Amino acid sequence: MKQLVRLFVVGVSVLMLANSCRTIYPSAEVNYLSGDEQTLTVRSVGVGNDKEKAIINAEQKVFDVLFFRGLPQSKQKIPMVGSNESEEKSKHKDYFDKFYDGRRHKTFVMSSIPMGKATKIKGGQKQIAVDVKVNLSALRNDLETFGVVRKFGY
Amino acid sequence: MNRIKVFLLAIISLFTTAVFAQNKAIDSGGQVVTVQPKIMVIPYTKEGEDLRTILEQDENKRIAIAKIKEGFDSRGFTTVDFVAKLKAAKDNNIFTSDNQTDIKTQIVEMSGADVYVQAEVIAERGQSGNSVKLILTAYECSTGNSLSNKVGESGRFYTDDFNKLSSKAVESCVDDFLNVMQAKFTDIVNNGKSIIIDISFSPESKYKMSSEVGEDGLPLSDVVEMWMEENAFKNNYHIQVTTDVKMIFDDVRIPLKDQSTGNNYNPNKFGLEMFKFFKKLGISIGRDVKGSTIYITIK
Repeated sequence: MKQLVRLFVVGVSVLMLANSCRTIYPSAEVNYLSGDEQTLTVRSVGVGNDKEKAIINAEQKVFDVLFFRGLPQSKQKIPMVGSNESEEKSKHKDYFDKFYDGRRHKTFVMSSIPMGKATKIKGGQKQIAVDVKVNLSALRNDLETFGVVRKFGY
Repeated sequence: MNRIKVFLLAIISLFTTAVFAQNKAIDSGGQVVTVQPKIMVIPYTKEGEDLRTILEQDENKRIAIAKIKEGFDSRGFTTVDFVAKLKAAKDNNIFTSDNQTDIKTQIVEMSGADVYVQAEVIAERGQSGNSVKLILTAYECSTGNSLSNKVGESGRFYTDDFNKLSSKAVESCVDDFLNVMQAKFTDIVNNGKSIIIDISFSPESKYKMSSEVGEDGLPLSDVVEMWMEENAFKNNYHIQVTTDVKMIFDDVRIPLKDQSTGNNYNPNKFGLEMFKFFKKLGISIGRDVKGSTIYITIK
């Protein structure tokens, strides 16, 4: 019996270790709503332990998509920074640490309006759809100023 | 006697410093600024259309061009003003032919532009409203390589304000257009700028492409290609044609920066390397550089 319990504990530990090593990529639930020359409005779905964290997650997903994927139908169809996000993030670690962890992304969010109430999903987390308006031209200037992307031209 | 010697030495040292030291007035402290491409926005013209009057007659085209330039300005990039160049060309009487296509080529050449953006504005009237379509294309002047292409639409509106429609058509696509262009510029930064190399022979030349040259006695065309293989940036080159009397490389990549010094690099410097190569072979050449095309004439 003791051996069975031991085996169970070891099995669970191995499973947990394997899970912790697996990279969890953010989803790209960001859809274009409208935009002009300088701004972009999208609907993004965020997930978090509470409503506030879910909203932050929704906002940050917008920037993830703009930086590393590009947004179809919008004027930013190609990624602003590059497709290889891990390489770009390590190359400009300081910038992205401040941007995401330091929540500097907020300075480019012109409005962030939750669409309805947060709903409970698997794992006790909450999910919410948010309409996010981004100051796109300021974001591009910022990326250029901090050398994350080159200025227009060679 | 000693005093005279010291005085003379001081004078000589002062003189040499003045001659060989870098001009302090322009000393940048070793900073190198990348030479940016010159971009000019021009209207599309059909065969036979008068380029000189087309802008003056059609305000929609003027608005479209102004809006496109505004797009470049918003990215902190200054374009060459087409209208100013057109006026300068008129004043200097550079137009030597009545053929409008030639005039366009002449203006592009005269401006020294590396890239030109062509804007075609199509105004449409319909029962369900009026609209303006815009075709934007960007080319490298020397090679004709396409840098970006986009079609913009204003959408249909019940209005006769074609100026506003032209403006909307530009707004619908200019950002996307510039993003694609920037992606191509990034490719140029990483993989080099494209130039053309045209090698031909002067009538009195004793050489042909099949002439055996160098220590190994290989045909000239092969020796040239082997050199190109080693000297084209990242081994990136393409031969358009090789005959006994000419050899054209329609796409040879050169770096934007000298890989050893970090200074700006240009077709003229690459031409100098070619000159050295031919000199080593004991072949005398004539060298002309026009924009991004190097013309080598073997004497």
